[in-house]
Amino acid sequence: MNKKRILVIDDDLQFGRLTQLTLQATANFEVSVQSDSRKAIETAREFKPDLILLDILMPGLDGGDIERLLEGDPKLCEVPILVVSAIVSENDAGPDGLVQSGGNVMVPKTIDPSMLIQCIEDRLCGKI
Amino acid sequence: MKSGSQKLEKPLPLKSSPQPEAISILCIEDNDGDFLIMEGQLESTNSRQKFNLCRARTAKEALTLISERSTKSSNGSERDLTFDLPFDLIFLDLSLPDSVGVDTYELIANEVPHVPIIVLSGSTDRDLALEMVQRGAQDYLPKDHIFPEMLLRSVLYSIERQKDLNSLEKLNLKLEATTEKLKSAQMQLIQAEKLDSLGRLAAGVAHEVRNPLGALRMGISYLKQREANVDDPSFQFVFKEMDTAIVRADSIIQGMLDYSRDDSVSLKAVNPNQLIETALSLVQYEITTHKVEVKKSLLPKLPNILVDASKMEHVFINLFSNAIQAMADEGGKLEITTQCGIVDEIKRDEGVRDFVRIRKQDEVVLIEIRDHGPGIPVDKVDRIFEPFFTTKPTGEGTGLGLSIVKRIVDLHRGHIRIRNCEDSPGACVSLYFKAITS
Repeated sequence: MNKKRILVIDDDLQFGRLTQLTLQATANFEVSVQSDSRKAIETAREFKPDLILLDILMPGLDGGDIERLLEGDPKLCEVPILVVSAIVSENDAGPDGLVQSGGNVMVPKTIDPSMLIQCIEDRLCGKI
Repeated sequence: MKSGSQKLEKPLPLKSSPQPEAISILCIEDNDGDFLIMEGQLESTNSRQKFNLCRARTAKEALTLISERSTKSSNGSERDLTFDLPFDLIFLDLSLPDSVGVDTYELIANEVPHVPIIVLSGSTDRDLALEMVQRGAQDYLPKDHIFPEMLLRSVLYSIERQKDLNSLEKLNLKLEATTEKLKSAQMQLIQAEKLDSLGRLAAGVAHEVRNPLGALRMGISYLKQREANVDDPSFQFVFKEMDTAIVRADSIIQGMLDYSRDDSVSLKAVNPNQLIETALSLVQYEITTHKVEVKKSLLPKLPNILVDASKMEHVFINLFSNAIQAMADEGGKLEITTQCGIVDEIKRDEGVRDFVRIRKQDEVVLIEIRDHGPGIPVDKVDRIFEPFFTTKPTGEGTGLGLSIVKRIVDLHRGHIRIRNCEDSPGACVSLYFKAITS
């Protein structure tokens, strides 16, 4: 089975690096981290991810800006995005680990990582 | 309404007025002859004014008489603004069998500070009598030159003057009590404003704590997936990262606790750079949501300043929030610089005379916070420290922030000035604090 390529765009480098290690430890993912949101599109073009884990609150460009840039990029507009943010808490999440907030769907940063992996897989196969 | 040349004067209780109340006088005089002369002079004043004359031969006897007539209970409440007046007036001979000179005066005056005292002097102690007037006696009378009219005038004037002094003292006591109340209200206001801003910071603090919590959870998950092998470099890395994540979460929580604590001013030597970093971490959420770029130029070996860390964090949080809100629409730049030096070397053009508490040659720490917002409207610059004055839209500011910032800076004997930047749009806040020099 081919490893799925995941790009983590998060200004919190510590969270990014640990997510990278944890996801790669499952042997199902190849992970790259970009903590400078202004370089996110460039990195995405090079890395060609199968899925993007996207933080919302970042200096420079925020998650919303990045989403719009990705949608406007012919090569990246199809890449599924999973929004991961510390704005919401695990307590806000449903049994599927997702928080529905104002038409947006996001995963709380403090979620159990196995649940995050489940969300990534669901998103990859189009379940969510 | 002005009443032209008409002057209101208190009429002296002379012939035309109704029968005045008798004036109670304590005459402290050991010499029988002198006492009889005094008594005679009082009786022969050409007035309807009556006198109740009591006599004490010694200081001890006088104190007993005073305490017998005192209305004040022994545990007299301090705040009760009625003064104890056992007599309307005291005649005092300074040379008594059990007390002499200044001591006699002090002894009696301390006992009845609100009763007018007229010192009776012999021919040999005029200078001493004069000194007693400087100490607070209402008048002195040379025993060998007492005439009825002069005695009456001295008595009446002394009583009137003492009455005025007493009302002044009462007003002063009331004023002091009001000032105390005001001080405590001000502290409460500072606390209220702080809690208000804490509410606004709460979402940000939650976000800032959840980030390291998320990292911790990732770390635990990673360690669980692998066989534990402490020599594995990636294990060491994860442990280290998890450890820093705990420190991060803890410091943000500690920052919030320090900030919310209501302790009256407790001064400690603190590094201003540290204060700035803590305050920045508490407003990090606002910085990120408003896409503000923070540019710090903090002098590495900045001297400490003597401040209350929690209250100064409040100052910085408030100033940073203001700056961020001023640049709400477009991602702006917040510049923070710290430097130190001798006052007139730092800014020659800033009118050092404005400084109330910092002297010209003092070594000071200067903290400057500069935003790139629209600046302060020129006609408002002078009013920004006024309580309830705000340039923000209704509902978006209590108007207390800067007045409390100023209050806190004043409490720390620092200096704050806010002006528009000269070279580019935006406001610049300068804070001066005396440096602790070793």
